[in-house]
Amino acid sequence: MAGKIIADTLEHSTAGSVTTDYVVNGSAKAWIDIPLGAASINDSFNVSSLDDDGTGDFGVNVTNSFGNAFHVPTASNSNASSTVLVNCVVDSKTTSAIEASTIYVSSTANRTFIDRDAHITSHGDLA
Amino acid sequence: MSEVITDKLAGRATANDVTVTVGATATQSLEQGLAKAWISVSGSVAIYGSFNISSATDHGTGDYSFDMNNAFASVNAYCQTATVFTSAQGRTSTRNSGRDAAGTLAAEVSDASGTLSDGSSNQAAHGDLA
Repeated sequence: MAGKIIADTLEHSTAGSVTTDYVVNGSAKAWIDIPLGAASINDSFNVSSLDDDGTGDFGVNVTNSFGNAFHVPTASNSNASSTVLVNCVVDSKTTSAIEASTIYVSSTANRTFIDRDAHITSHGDLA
Repeated sequence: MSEVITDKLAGRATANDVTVTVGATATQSLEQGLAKAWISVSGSVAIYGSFNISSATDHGTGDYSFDMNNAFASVNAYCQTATVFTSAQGRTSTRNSGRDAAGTLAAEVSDASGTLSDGSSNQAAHGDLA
């Protein structure tokens, strides 16, 4: 049988203490490192699969779902050697998926999809 | 209220395998959910706050790197998210895959036109340390 600790506070001898709700709520519940083109997953946590929905358009499916759709994804992307400013944006989210895209804005289009490495982390409550 | 006073948590079978209950019934790895490095830094690399960061380097306008005390397992083994904090509109911070490494977070700050520009940013990274 695995050991189990039920506690409200963790205290370090010198670094201070933290109540365990910060451990539970402050831990990322899912994260993923996506290489250029979203054809594979470099590394991830609590991610079941990655959908390549086209150029710069992808979806992240989680293994253990969030308790509601109000979890908080944060996203970033690599921009090395780019001649345009690319941003990774979250398009929509459900309890079990995050839809995101890497895009840039030009003088003629508000949203042009482009492949970039992307990184997404989400915090919130699991079901 | 219960309290655990300890300097170290480790799994019995595997040191970095400690499970924590994070939902009504859902559990997850404590280690995987923790940010392994974060930094809040100015455009001139003054560090406002950080964790697992040993130094910050300014490589030129909008071009920064942050060396870690304990490195990730590989350059592709972590998820880095970034944001800027500035009153200037349209700026963004991105990971610089031309300069990053297992032990180095690299970031660029750009203005609305995509030109590198000095600016304060926040970086955080999750993943597996070496």
